[in-house]
Amino acid sequence: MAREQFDKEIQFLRMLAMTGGAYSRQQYAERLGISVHTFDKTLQRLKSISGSSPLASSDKDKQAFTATFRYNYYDAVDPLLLLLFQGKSMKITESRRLVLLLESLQKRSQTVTELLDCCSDGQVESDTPPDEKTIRADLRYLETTGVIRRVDAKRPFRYRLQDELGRLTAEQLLEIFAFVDIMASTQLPSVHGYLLRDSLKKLLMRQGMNTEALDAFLYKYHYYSRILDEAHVFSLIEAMRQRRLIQFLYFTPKSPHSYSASQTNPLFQREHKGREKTVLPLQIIYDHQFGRWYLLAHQSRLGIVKFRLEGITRLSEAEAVSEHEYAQHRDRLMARIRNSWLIDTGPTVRVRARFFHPGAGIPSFVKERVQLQGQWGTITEESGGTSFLYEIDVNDTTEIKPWLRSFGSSCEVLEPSKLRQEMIEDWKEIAASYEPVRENNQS
Amino acid sequence: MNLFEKITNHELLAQLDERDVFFTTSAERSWLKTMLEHPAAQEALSRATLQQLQTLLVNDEPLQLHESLTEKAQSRENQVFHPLIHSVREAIQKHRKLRFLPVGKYGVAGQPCLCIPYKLEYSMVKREWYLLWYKHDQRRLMSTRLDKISECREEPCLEAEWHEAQQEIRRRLELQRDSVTLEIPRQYNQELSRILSAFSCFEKQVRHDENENCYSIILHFSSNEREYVLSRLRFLGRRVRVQDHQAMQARMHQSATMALSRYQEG
Repeated sequence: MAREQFDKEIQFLRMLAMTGGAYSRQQYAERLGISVHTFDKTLQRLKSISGSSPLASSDKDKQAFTATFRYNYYDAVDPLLLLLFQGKSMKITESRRLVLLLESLQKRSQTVTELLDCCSDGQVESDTPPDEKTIRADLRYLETTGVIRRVDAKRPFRYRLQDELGRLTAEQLLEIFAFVDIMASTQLPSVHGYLLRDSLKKLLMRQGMNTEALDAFLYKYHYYSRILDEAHVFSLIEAMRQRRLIQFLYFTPKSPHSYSASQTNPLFQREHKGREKTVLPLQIIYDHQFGRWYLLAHQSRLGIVKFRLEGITRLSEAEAVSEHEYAQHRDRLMARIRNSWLIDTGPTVRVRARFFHPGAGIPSFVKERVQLQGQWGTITEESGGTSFLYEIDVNDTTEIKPWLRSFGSSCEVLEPSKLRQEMIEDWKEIAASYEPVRENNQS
Repeated sequence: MNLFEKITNHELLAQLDERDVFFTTSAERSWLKTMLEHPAAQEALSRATLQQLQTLLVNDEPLQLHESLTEKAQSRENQVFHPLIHSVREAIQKHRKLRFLPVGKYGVAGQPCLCIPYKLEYSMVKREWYLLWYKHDQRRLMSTRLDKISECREEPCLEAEWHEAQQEIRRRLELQRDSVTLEIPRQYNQELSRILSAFSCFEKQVRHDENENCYSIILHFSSNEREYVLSRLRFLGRRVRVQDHQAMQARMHQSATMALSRYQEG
């Protein structure tokens, strides 16, 4: 489970990425439910991870740093927010020891005793030599994370580094790098792919590859902050796999506060009202329209409940339910979201809309877009060749409405009449809000 | 699978990089194995590389996602990889020009293009790859769908010409920059998070007027992206209003009045 300390960083980075420049330090701290001191400390920590210069003291300089979390298309080749997942702290002695162990294991497979000698020989003078128990604990950790493996079952065990991928030819590594880059950027989930991309990039650069070749790919209209919520995705998937209930403190994204310092630090305590929830997680939904994640779950007495992943903090697992109970809730949910444009579980309605081709001789980019984004809706050409009908059975009309409106005058909603009327009202208001402009332009 | 592991600590990774140590974690290998199941793997990787990877990953488990994760409202996935990607990337790496024939609706059309490639761009909306290139003789930045390129081959390029082109590309990208200030009417402040999400794929600055409790967004984009920005504005409807861009204000007004006339006709 994601620990409390990362909840703060997740909310922190999201706020900087989304609203960079909007607030002063005090306002950021207030919205995050932390003290200005904690805000500065967290900022300093993130700066050290991102390799920026030491913390500047003025508010203006701090604003300049928060601005670096804003998206910059041509320079944003490496996913900046990945630093969230590279921030787990460790003692300097531990990090030196792990470097020695991994470096030794890269050369050849070794036993605990051999590694103990290596560490004693290679360590910094001021460090106390590690004992066998420490080395065994390190190896257990490295084995659990799959960084090393036992060579065979013979005792004493010999360990080796999992570095086979790096031994492929430079040409193959470039092929794999491109594949990893593309898949991490276009598919879900992304974080493990970005971490692998990072390692491969460093390896290729050590082999003399220029960065132009490694930074050749750009991804347009990409919701780059989506990776922050992946922190919860794997914890939720694991809870679902084990059919477990989960507990968390939920901050609705409509609230001005998105985090609350835990009570372990009373000095900086700012307890804003989140809501304690205990639910059975059933499905994670990723919404490509906004680049946002949702959790759909079952809550006793309430039935199906929906949460934005970005509002979830202090997530922990609770007891498991029976397979039968889980399947029952899950099947019910999946049936209810079959016709959801996103996550709406309201009654299904038939939406009919007429779309207009752009004109004779112009390729119909309207139809192409409807085919591309219209999900399970059907398209029927109309006589006369100037328009086509789009029909879809969808849960309520709230979620599909923005998409239909985005086509402007190329789309006319025919049914249901309530949606048609709403569209007319929307367009009237939009026209009115720009009316003075037209008058100004004409005068 | 925990995403917060000390093995990915940035200081540790930096020290390992200095010592030329490479490794993969089981989580990364599981992710890679999952991605190898995607049809794009067959196109992106040579048969030999794919086979070698499958052998290397034989003891790793793919991620079990299909039961727990659903993606909604995504564009149909036309294309994830394109066969030209490797050769274009190689041309960028080696500082070479590319000569190709553009493909029209009815086959090869037009004169051969000689280009200095600078990026490969994937549109998450159209789900297609584009070659971004510089047309030296006309000093223009171009974008061509990889699907519309045929008979592509490398040609040498003088290093001085390459560097001059890179400078010119940067200059022209800067010249193409456009921006618009969007005002969020105060009654929609509660939807701020949704509105900011909708624009999170753009370069932007957010301003907050504390006295009025009003938010505005300064959106930066390339002038050839204006149509997409407008579709995003129509998507959000009344939640945002163009404050300072006369051409875009006029377009929004035109859209609204034309849409209304459709309904009056209907």
